Amino acid sequence: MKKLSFALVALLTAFSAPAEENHEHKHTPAPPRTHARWSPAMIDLFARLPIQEGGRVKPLSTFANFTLLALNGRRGCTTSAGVRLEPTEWLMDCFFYTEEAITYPCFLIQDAQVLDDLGLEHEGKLRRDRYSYADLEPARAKLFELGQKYDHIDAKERNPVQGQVVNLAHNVMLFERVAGFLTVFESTPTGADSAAIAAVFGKDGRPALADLLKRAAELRPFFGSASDDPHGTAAAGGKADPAFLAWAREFAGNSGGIALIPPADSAPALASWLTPGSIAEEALLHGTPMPDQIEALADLEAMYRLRDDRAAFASRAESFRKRVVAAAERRGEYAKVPLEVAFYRAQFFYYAQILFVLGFLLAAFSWIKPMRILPRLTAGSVGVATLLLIAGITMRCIIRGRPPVSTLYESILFTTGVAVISSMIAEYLNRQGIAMTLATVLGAAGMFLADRYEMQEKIDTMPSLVAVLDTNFWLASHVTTVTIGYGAGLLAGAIGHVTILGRLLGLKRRDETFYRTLTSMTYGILCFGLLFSVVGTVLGGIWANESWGRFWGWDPKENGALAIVLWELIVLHARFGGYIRDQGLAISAVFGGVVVAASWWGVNLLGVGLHSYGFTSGILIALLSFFAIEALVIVAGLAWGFGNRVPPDKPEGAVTPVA
Amino acid sequence: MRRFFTRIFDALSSTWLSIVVLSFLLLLTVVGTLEQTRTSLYEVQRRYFESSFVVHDLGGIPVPLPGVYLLLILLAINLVCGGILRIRKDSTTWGVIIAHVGILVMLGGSMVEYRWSEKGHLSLAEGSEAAEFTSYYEWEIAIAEARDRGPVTELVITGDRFMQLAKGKTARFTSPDIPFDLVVQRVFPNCEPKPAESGGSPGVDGIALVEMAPEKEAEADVAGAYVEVRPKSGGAAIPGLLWALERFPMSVNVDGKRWTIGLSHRRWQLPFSVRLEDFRQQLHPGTGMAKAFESDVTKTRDGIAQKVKISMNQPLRESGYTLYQSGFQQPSTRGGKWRSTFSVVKNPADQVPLYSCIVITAGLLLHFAQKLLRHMRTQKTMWRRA
Amino acid sequence: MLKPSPILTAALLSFAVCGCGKDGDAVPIDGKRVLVAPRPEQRMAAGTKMRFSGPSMDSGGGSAQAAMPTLAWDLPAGWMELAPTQMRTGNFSVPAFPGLECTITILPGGGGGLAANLNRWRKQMGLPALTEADIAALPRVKLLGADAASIVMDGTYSGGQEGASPGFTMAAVVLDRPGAAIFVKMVGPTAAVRAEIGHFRALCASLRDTSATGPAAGGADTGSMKWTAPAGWTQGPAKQMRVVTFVPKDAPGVECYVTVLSGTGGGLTANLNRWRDQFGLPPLTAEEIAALPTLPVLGRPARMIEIDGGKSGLFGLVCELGTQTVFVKMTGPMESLRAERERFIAFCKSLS
Repeated sequence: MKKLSFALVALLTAFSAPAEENHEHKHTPAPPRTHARWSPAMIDLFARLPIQEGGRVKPLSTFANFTLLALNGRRGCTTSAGVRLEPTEWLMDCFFYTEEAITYPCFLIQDAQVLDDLGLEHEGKLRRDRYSYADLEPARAKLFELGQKYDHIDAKERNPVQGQVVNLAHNVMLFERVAGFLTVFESTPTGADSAAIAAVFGKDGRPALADLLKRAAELRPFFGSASDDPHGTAAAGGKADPAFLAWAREFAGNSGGIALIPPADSAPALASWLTPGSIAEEALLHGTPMPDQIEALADLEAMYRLRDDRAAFASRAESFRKRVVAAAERRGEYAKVPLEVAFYRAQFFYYAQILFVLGFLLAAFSWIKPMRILPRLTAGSVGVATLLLIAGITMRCIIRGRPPVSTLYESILFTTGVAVISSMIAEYLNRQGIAMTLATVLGAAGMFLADRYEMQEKIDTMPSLVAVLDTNFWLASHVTTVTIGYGAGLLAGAIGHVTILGRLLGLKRRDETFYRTLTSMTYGILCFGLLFSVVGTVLGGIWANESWGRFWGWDPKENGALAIVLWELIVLHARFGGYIRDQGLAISAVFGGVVVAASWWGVNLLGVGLHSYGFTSGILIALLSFFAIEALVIVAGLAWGFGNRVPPDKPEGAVTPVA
Repeated sequence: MRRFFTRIFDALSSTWLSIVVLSFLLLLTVVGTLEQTRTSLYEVQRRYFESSFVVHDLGGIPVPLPGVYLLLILLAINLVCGGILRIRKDSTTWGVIIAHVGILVMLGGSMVEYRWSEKGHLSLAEGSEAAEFTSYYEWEIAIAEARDRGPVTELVITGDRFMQLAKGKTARFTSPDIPFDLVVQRVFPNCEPKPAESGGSPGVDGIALVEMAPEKEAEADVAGAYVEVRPKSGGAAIPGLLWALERFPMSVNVDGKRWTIGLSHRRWQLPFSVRLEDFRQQLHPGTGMAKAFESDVTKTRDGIAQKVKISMNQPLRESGYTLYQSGFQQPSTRGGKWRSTFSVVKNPADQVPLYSCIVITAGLLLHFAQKLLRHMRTQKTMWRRA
Repeated sequence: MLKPSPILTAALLSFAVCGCGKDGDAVPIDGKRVLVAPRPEQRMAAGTKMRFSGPSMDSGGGSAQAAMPTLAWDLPAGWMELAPTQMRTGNFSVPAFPGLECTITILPGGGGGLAANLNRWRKQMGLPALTEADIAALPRVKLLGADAASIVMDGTYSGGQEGASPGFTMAAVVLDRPGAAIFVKMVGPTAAVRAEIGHFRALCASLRDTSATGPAAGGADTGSMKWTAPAGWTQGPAKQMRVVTFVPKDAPGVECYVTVLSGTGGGLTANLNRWRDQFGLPPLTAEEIAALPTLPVLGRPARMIEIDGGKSGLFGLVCELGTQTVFVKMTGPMESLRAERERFIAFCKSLS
């Protein structure tokens, strides 16, 4: 790790020009761009390269995407020369043109206070602005020191600036890992400075790393049995070559970087992929023969050296790609990579969101000027959007080989799908138009929420799962059922909103059928939700019993699911007993939505129990705002209800007819 | 008189009672969840979820509430009276009745589990063997005659008989098998031993037990007690102290024989022994996150040994006991051994939730499908008329 | 609606009655368990002393414990402290280098001697043993104020559970002193050890002995310290290393406690500036420290410092007694601290 940063610092000093007096930004100005932009074909080739990261094999473009998102808060990077780079292109610059990449402002800092804490200048910059590695490097030591210190403070107790310092320290480490890991090719010892190299390659030998490794057997004797101990303990004689030893230990022991190269075909299923450093370690220190991997390394090094000769680069890149993909395919680890690239390129959820919003605009327009074609267009828009949503979810399932919901992010997608499809079914059964409009609203809101959540978490949304979740049966049954329950509960709440706000605003006052339909829809969806929530909760208990030996542990997440069930039971029994009617049902449904939100998101913020995902203040603020708005709606509903009371006319215990 | 019982039955079977009980259950669920940020889960479970009555501290104001145990009993009564006996029985209500029966089955199963289940853990290093498991929370005092070899009978006093001892009160335990009575004088749920001068209490042999606040996780509490051994034959009483993390139990000589008295977490015996052969942890490659972990064990019952693999989501079931792979411990020194921890449960009602789930699902599906069909038929009629 | 039914109420009340055992009556023991063989711990006829030895016994202990020192150190930047174990008083790892570990071990009775331990490690590293002359020729560094042997060895490490690991380096410092030997050892891949050797040296240099030794000549005996608790201060639960802890009742989040360290405990300047650093404040110069107010505590002028860290803060008092130093620290939210200021001063003055 230290070696990489020294390399970066060396590049910095070699390439930085003195700051000009009239320059607005005090950071090191970018050297004029010395290289041509990468061709789309090259970018595509790199995007499809498989790497192993976070425990799974994924395309390089996914890694580039989320790394840049984590650093920069955006899915792209604009250099100080105004060139906009997409993530894969940015990553390629980091690999091959590190000296320029360190001048790209790709670190987003939310509050300039962080720079003050680090002792860095930020004159001329906004409070929330972007900085380059070169800008931040002078305060690197202080950054890591502060980052370590603040990391020990409990997340809830940290103030925002401390949290940002911790994040920035992680991001800088991530960047150092990614950028410049190919610069090690520059530091291969030559015959001139190492006796070992001279002996094998001649006094003027300047071997490529791959050539060096191919002759590892001849170089091993130069490790000798000496220990070059600065304390000068007894050093046995021998051919020990300190320069070569030092290089070997620095480089070979350092397995930082990107694991781009698959291991041998015979390696076990869960073996780690290789970085240049780990290949060197295996070859030099363990004597493991790795002919394929060294050839791939040779391609990589050639690409690095030929980076300005794009034609030659392209041919070596193609050779590298072929080798690596073939190796991955032989290990059965490549199959899903092209699919994942296609998935992210298709941007299903982005287009779904656009179509949902379009549907809403069409529906809204039809309120002003009803036209027969508009409901059909709305339905069409919603239909296509839903198909995109389903396609996206399905593709994710195929890529991951898992049921649709295994992370919090996926629960957002699935809940939205459930709410939208349920709305469409309700529309089909009731034909009032309102359900379709609700579908557009909920669909748009869900897609927006999913996007914001991804932007906030900034990590791969297809992570490896912990041991207890490593079971497809229970993930498919329990988690899916509970998530359907969430969707239904939220939809019922949304319809409740329409009832309450409609009554308050005097909409469709003459049309009792409209409100009766709303009530029956609310009731129907609540029943549907209850079924899935009850079954889902019990399935969760059975899963816990199979895994841990206890059916119910009063864990906050379990309690949240139970709360939804209890509330829905209370509402249905209250309606059965005649204690609430239409307005009461609407208000109860809105409160039910609050219970669902608290159970889905709130329990993670408590910090206790098995499902605690860590405290995020952003989510807390959003959740509290939601509660506040819902409280207002409930109070408004109650006010209208008490002001417009209909005398009770049903005896206790009768079943209220639905129509 | 008959009217009196009718009114009672009316009350117990009313929808109003259902709503009240369900509402209190909801309230207790919310309160008990929030309370977990302050108190250990075990404490919250004991006070809110397994009790009949609890006084909740709402910012200094004591609020009395019914405990979940009581509420579930009331719910069961209400389900039987209202949900099964009194409810109208026709084609529209069968679904609901079936669902109610399912819930009753589940409540019954949880009562069985509460009263008759044994839960604990068993932690084994690679190569070692054991035939008993230990509770996470419950305590016991075990008295045994000290021997070098051969079978030993331990007399066991379970924690429920002495841990709740109020300050100032003592408890005296006797048995025809031992020549003395054991008096438990003072009990500490969580304490540590210190030299007598600093503690302020007199102590025994210069060591005193100093009380500590309960830990956030109740499994980490270390109990202690001051005891006194009173020989039946009239000799002088021997004072002593017991501490759950002591290296050796208390040792006394009475009537020429040596006896040991020890305080520890409650132990139950298994009708078979388990030996850990190998523990394996699979990591997601390139990360420190566990993908899977599993243990190879040899189970020996009645002299017959059998090799079994226990992994997450795949427990070992034998003779009414189930062993789950619950965790592990890395060796703390290089060359040390891995330890695998199993969660051990004996629950006669183990499969009841699954059966009740099927019944409830069937009942609800039936009921709501009927309602939906009726609704669709009514809609069609409406449209035809319009 | 429903009128409360008397039978129901009675039934509910009956739940409230719990079965309490009556004091004094003998309860028969009915639990029995047959073991195939006695438990290992039951075979020992252990006296109280043998049953209860351990770290919790050290605070306030007598001279019998003096041989086992209690160590303190400054954690190097980038290092993480792991939980201590039976054998390891200090247990460290470095997140940036996963294969690296560093330990501090105290072995009572010398642990076998310098030569035996050094050669045991040499064997672990696959290296030949050192002769007495080699060992005498090893460089010496200062550890806890005494000369300790320092060695760095490269080789194939076989002390770990993975079998032989080549490309490893072990750096160790051994202090052989009467009563206890102290080893500070770092093992890991060579690149990692080389990267962190500076931090390792700094850790060794920062090691200090903080055991509360018994009454020493010429110093105040703090084993029997007395004080007057101010009004509204309740004594808090006993904690490791603290003589006493107080929690003012009306000041939420405030805690005040007294610790005693042997010697200078690090020194006045180091401690004051360490406290300042905890609140993100720059260190004080010697003049600023000399300008701090003093209070008469235990017959000497003790320096008092009030640190305002914005939302929370610290009041501290350092009383140097020569062979020991007494620290009184009160931390908490700034407003509550200010409210308790007078009581803090009164408490400090009341120490005797």
